[in-house]
Amino acid sequence: MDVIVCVKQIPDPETPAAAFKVDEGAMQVLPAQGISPVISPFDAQAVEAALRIKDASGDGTVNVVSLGPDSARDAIKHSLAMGADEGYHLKDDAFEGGDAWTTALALSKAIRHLGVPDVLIFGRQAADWDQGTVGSIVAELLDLPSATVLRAVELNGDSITVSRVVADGFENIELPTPCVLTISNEFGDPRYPQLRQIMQAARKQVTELTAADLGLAASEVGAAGSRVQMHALFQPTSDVEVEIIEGDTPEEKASGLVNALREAKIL
Amino acid sequence: MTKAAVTSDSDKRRTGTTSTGKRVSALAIPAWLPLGGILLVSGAETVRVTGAHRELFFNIDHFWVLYMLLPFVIGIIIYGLIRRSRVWRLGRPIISGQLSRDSLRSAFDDLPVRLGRLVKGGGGTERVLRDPYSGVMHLCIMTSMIVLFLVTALLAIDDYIPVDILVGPRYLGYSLVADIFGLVGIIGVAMAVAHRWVRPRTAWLPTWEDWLILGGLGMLLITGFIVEGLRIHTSEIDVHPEWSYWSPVGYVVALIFSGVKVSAALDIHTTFWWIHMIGALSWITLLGYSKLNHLVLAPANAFLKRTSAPGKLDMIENIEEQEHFGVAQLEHFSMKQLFELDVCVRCGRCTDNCPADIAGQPLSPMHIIQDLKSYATAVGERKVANLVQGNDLNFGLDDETPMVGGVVRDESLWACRTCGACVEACPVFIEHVPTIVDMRRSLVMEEARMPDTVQGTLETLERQGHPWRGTPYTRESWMEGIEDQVPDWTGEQDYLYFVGCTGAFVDRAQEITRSVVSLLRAADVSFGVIKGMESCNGDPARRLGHEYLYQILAEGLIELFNETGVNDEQKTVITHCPHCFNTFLNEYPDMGAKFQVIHHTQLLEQLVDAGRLVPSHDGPEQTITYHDSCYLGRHNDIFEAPRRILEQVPNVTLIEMPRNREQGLCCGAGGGNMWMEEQGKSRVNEVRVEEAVATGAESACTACPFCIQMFDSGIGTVQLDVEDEDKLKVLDVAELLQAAAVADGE
Ligand code: SF4
Ligand code: SF4
Repeated sequence: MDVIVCVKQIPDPETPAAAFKVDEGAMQVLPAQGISPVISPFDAQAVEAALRIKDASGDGTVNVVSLGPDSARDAIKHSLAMGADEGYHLKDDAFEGGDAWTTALALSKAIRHLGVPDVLIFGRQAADWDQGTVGSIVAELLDLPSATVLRAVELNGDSITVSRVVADGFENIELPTPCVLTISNEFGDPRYPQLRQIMQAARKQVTELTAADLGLAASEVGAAGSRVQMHALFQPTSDVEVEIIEGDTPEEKASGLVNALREAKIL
Repeated sequence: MTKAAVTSDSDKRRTGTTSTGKRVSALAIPAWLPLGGILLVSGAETVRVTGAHRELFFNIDHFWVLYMLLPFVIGIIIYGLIRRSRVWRLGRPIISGQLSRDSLRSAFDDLPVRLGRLVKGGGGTERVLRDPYSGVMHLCIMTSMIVLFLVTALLAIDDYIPVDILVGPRYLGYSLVADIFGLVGIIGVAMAVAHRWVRPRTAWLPTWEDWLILGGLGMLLITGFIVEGLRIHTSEIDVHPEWSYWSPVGYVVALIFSGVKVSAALDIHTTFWWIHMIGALSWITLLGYSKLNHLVLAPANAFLKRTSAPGKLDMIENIEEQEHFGVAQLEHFSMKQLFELDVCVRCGRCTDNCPADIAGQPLSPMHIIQDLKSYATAVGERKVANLVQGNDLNFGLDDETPMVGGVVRDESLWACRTCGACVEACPVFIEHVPTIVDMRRSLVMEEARMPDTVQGTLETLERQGHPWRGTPYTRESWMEGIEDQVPDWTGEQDYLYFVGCTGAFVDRAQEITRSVVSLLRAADVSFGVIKGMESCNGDPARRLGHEYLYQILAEGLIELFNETGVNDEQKTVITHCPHCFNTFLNEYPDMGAKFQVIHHTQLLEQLVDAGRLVPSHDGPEQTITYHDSCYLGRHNDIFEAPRRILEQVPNVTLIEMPRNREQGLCCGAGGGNMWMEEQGKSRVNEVRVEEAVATGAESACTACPFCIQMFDSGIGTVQLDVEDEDKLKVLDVAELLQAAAVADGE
């Protein structure tokens, strides 16, 4: 079974809050010193899901596509080290400053260009902006059925059974192929690459594709094609006030707590 | 200057008399001196005993059979050893030291050190004597065997040379010595048997080998006395009774046989003589086939053990070109590592001193060595056979239990703290730590199989350049508010203060970092800090088995040190953490480091000595126990510097925990365990905190940020029910010194 995974490189979500800085004027997140950007964790899980599908089906390929600046190649290399077969890097100055729509548009063109696979997998959202829309837009653009926020994926002959995470439990669905899936963190940890694979991945060529290669005009992608306009970007401040509830017995303390919560209209 | 400082500390340590072992060992040689006196006295008996002697083959015909057998016996022993050596030779042709070095050269570098160890450790069995009971037991058996061998050889020589040495008083003195050492041997064997019955430790249940060796030796000693007794009974006691007093044990045996008719006694004598002699020759063949081989192999291993610092791990050179990473198969070990497996005598000392085993966790270094040895016997021999038959090395071995993950379980490898207590305790100089880390290397780099916590730590190291996943701090957080007091490194100062990851990212450790800075300022030390640009030196990655990541991090840091002028013989790096210290001092030279290294306690001690820091402020009266960090103490011989600082702080009384200095118990954090979930009955830090609490001290002092954290969290559980103000306080040596030597607000 052939799978394509779309991955995104993001600032490390583990970056300590103290190191996280925003340039409010330029409306940009400043890279933290000494901390390298990483593949979005949900996307690493998407690669894991793709590799498991390939293993379960016994044949096929797992290819990886990423749109982003030069450094995004590292996210592709990481996926290759995990075991993916080929990497494609959508790299063009024209792509800069885009939004979920332009990204999805470029990705859908790239996937047509590479040939629509049996399964197309995304992380449920990129862990930087957390919008969680690209996967679904690509599914629309390619006119494919999709299932989002998945905790389990199972091959069933030609169809696929998945389990979605929903507010009050799980939802099990069967999809035909080809289809689009987005993977949630409940799916489980991505594998740690073996050193040999890291070294092989380092030597592997990543194919670069520009907007022109995909038949896209510069006006359709990047900032020019964006449908979302940003008005402000700032770091929220949060003030925490602590009130210690006094009381001689645990019961007194508990009833004090209940009263305080009622006053705050939490209960 | 600083490397010299390390040596001087260790020299001072060597002159100290701290461990029991050393005291007993000093007794080892003089113990037998009184015998010299006995020999002298025997000279005074000259008048009455002129002519005393004995006949070599008294009452024995066909003794030449013995001489015929001798070459066979030697052949059988040599055959056994050569057979084993074929398994050893499966390993990589590296004996010790750096992988790239020519193996022969590296086995013989530092020759004086090796020879010294051979004499003291191999021949003098210095380490064996650290345990008084088994030390004495071993000394009895060993000296008895040596003396009796010499005695027998002397008798034979005497018979074949024209001059008679063994006549008259010399013969009688000789007889006495032989008898005494025969008795000493029996005492030793009895102690060994009792040891196995009365004090069976789970770590070493005796096997057939033990009983065969001990039973055989006991039998030889007893039959020897029977033969002697019968000879005295039949030929001496009636004619020269005054001679026989010089064989006291034989004399008693002769008295026991006094009722037996001389003709019958002669027959019994012949029988026992042959039993004794054939027994001796058979017993000695065990040398090639059992742990008795330690007679030869242990001194060899004492010689072959690496001479570099014990905390240093071997570098995998040209790692990108390796066919495999770490050790997953016997043939990935070095010859020395395979050889070593056969040296183990199953004494259990390594396991008895292992923090993981003490805490009931799934690791016993003795079992790792022993299980690998059994595997090397079973599978190694088949690999050898494959080679002989021209097959692929691993032909027909696909279904064997895998060595890593099967014979040695993953959780055992992860439980190791690389604390070196096992290496320090092993009387036959086995080096467990590199063997364990080599197998970890395979788990991590070859198979990518590791606990989640290890994976998380390695990922954080890769991405963020430090191991503290989820820390809310940056590298500069610790200097918030005191930025102007922390000088930037300009390349002009004498010392770079390397804060390290823990000193920067963990809040409790940040306090200590600030104490060190305040002390350096108070003593007017010319130092600077590379602010915000430090990255991990790679020690956690290396100890967790990720050699490749270690090399990447180390190369990056060396590059930073090159760019900033730190990597210079004239510059000294002060490390906050003993792990940074060990890596910089012992491992970075392999990566091209030239700078000097000093641990903060060493420098502080020098500053106190020089009067640049005066601990004059009276604090409250307090008793403090000092906990040795493994990587400062056992691995780098720095035991006294921190203690001397504590001794100079007013009103401080220093008391020791029973396990201290070389025998110190790990806090539980080493070998990357700082970031792992512990498995097993209890936690190592709790065991150590209990030991500290049991001294009655009010505070525990240490010099390692990991130890501090492990103590703090151990106290949380061990002293759960103790009021906060009565709980054990945990301090870094620098904090205590700061309170005593730096005026408030400075
Ligand atoms: S190094 Fe320490 S933890 Fe590891 S096996 Fe040896 S004694 Fe045990
Ligand atoms: S490895 Fe050394 S200490 Fe451990 S059981 Fe063997 S001989 Fe004893």
